[in-house]
Amino acid sequence: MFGFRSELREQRDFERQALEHARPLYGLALRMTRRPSDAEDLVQETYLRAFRFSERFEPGTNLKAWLFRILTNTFINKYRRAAKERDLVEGAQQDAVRQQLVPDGSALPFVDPENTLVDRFMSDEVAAALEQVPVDFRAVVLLADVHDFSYKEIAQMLDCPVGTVMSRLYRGRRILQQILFSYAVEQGILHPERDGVDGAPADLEDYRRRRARAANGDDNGGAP
Amino acid sequence: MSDDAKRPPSAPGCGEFQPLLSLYADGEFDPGEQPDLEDHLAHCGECSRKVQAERAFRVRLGQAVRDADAAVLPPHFEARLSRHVSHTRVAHRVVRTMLPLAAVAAALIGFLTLTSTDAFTAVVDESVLRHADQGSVDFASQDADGLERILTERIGHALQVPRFRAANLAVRGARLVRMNDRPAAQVVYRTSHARVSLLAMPDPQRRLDLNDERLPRPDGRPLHVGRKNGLTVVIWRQNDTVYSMVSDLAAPEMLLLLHDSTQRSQRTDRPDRNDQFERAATPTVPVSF
Repeated sequence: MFGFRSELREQRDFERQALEHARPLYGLALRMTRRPSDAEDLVQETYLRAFRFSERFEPGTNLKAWLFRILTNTFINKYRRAAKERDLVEGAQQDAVRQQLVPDGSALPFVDPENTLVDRFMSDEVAAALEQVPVDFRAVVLLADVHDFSYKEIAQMLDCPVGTVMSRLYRGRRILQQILFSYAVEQGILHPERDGVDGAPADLEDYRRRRARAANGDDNGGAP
Repeated sequence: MSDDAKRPPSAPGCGEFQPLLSLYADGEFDPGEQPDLEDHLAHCGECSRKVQAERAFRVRLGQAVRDADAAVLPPHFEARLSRHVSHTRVAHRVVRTMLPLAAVAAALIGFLTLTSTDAFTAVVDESVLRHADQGSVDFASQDADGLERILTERIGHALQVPRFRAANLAVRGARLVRMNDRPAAQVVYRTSHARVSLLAMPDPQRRLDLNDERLPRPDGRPLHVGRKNGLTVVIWRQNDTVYSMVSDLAAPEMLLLLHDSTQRSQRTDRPDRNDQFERAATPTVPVSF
């Protein structure tokens, strides 16, 4: 038996359990890379690393968090450096980004006190808006709000202090709200003069009908 | 702090708790961990609304993105991922897990010609000769279970047909042959890049001595690896059957195939005449070579 039998069985059990997390991993990879082919490559690379270093996983700890950590590390090492996105938040452009998206650098107001902003969009539009958030903030929002990891788990994944996670999460959410609000104004769901930041209710069903007609090619642009 | 209830929303008490609201909304505090904050929220409508708003935003955002993710998941993603990872893992294991065995295999090349008995040589020659036969098989089937049943029935001896699922090596069929005037079987496999055949020879009298002390016994069972006519031959005994596997793969790859192979459970549907066969606890277990 080469002494391999139990080792092989344990390895296969581990692989089977790890593959159960493929969907959320793909989701994170897609929102981080913004390209389906890159996302698929990133998930594959994540699993290959996970299986290669499976002995480093401590049984009884959170397998999903361990896989997500490998994915975020792989992303940082491979894609993010390639895209030179690090400069966006840690280099000279940091202030420019802040000024563009976070006007005064202080805490942004919560633009959606009635909590209707997310509901005004299709889920793919919300995801697309999230993809516009700078990657460091986006990563934390994805890990916390989409994949339900704690601040501490996220800090371990990103190898940064918990305080950094908190500030990025806060800022990332506000930036996303600003983007969604801008979308809503652009698409005529909200009118800044009329709705202000409070976002009075708009006719979402009307917007969806227009969007569906536009998708079918029988609409003239759907201007309100 | 009950006094907060009487204060306006911008009272100093709210400012004190402001930095904690997001953490509270995100569930970062255990119940009872922040009694002052909880007390404040119970009485301050403004801060309580902020917490609710943060929490609701998080929930709705998470749901929207998860829905979007589910909608764009490529078809057959998990199956494709599993296949890709499995194939790469097999290749990787050659380097990692199997490296010592690969070294053993390399050291044993030519071993057959140095140590073989006549009976042993006959097995090698016969299995290499049979391997060259690319003609039709007696039982064309990709069903290893079915082949195992029919070969066991025809030969009157319980044989095992290893499955090489991880290596993408499919069974193609089997032939009934004779070896030293005794019935035996040859199982033929195919893969995209190699042919593999397995000669299974009943040997309940243990005529073939496969217990050379000089052979490595990583599992307590001697394993014979060598080359003949440019082909790799691996020979082993499992209970009352001698198996000789031949292919044009390199020795490490052959060992890897065996490592990743499986056999069917012998528990329920085997004749009792060969009950010294190893009993498996699960329907499919790694084969023991």
